[in-house]
Amino acid sequence: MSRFGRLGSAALVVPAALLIAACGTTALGHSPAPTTAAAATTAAASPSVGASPSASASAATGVSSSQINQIDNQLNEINNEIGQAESGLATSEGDPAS
Amino acid sequence: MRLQHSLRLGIGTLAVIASLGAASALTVGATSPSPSATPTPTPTSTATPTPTPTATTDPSAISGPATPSATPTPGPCQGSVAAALACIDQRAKTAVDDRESALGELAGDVKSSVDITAGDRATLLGQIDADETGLDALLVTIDNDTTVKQALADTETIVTGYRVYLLETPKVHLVIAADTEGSVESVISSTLPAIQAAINVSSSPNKAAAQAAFNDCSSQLAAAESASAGIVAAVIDLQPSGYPGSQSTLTSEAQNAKAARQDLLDCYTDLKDILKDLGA
Repeated sequence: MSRFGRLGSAALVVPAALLIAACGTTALGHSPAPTTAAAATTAAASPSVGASPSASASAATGVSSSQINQIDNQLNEINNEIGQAESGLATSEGDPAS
Repeated sequence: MRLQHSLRLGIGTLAVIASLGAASALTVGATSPSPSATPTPTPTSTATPTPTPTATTDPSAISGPATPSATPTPGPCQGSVAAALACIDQRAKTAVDDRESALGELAGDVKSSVDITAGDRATLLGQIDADETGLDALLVTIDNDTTVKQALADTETIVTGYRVYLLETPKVHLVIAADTEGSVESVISSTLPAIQAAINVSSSPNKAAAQAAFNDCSSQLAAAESASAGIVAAVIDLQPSGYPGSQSTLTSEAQNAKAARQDLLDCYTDLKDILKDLGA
């Protein structure tokens, strides 16, 4: 195999390994936060994973359906956190003294 | 018969009037309400609001901007100095308990987030811990106050000195959101070279569509990185003393987080399309 061929293979394998490592770590430790009303409203617009990539496509790109699902979960988590932030901004501190 | 009916109506009316008068007298006389009758207008769980309207004292908490509470406030603490101080102490304790509960939930969110950076986790947990310690000390101060004026002033500091709901809560959630966006951006970014290589060698009839989706994903990723890049730096060191000016920063950064999230969603959709195109 030529030097270029080895480098090309490495370029394909390394990013795929990084993706697997990153998503695998996330999946192990992830605990979904409670869904807020605001988050639920926007989260409903989030697409669910409708189609799993074929085995050949996954092999070629290094992206599996479980990794696609994990990104989907992270996007929902982001949505949830933004919803809770907006809920906080829209609330009131009140006045404990009166 | 008609006379008896009128008499019954008259007696009934008098009874209603009398009961209303008694209720009014009770309300007026409630200068030192019991703890159970002193609902604070603060929400009880803004850190993790649920779809159920727990924040009935503030219906705007979930659906929109803050508006005046629909629930009547119990009014100022009155009576003798001792009675007023006891009333203030009780309300202060409730307010502190509510905020410490919210802070505990925020700490839980920070600890359970797998995508928050170690530095941001340490910073936020330090801020939350300092808030809890400060609120505990403030409650002791209020308990030891000997004048109503001082007790009221110290009680107000529960709000103005900490801004748990309006500052800490959105800050913590925005940092977690931004760091999670950073994680997704990193994952997608590291994957793109392999995907481009796969497109290059693909013999799929949808190769052109896959390349178009790839190009769009690349653009969306760049936009997401740009939108999310400054969120943490902009909000993580906001202090209660900066209120209300800090609110515009938080609102603006929430919009940036939403924009980044939408960009990532578009890129994610592109990725799925690419995989379908290559697998066709």
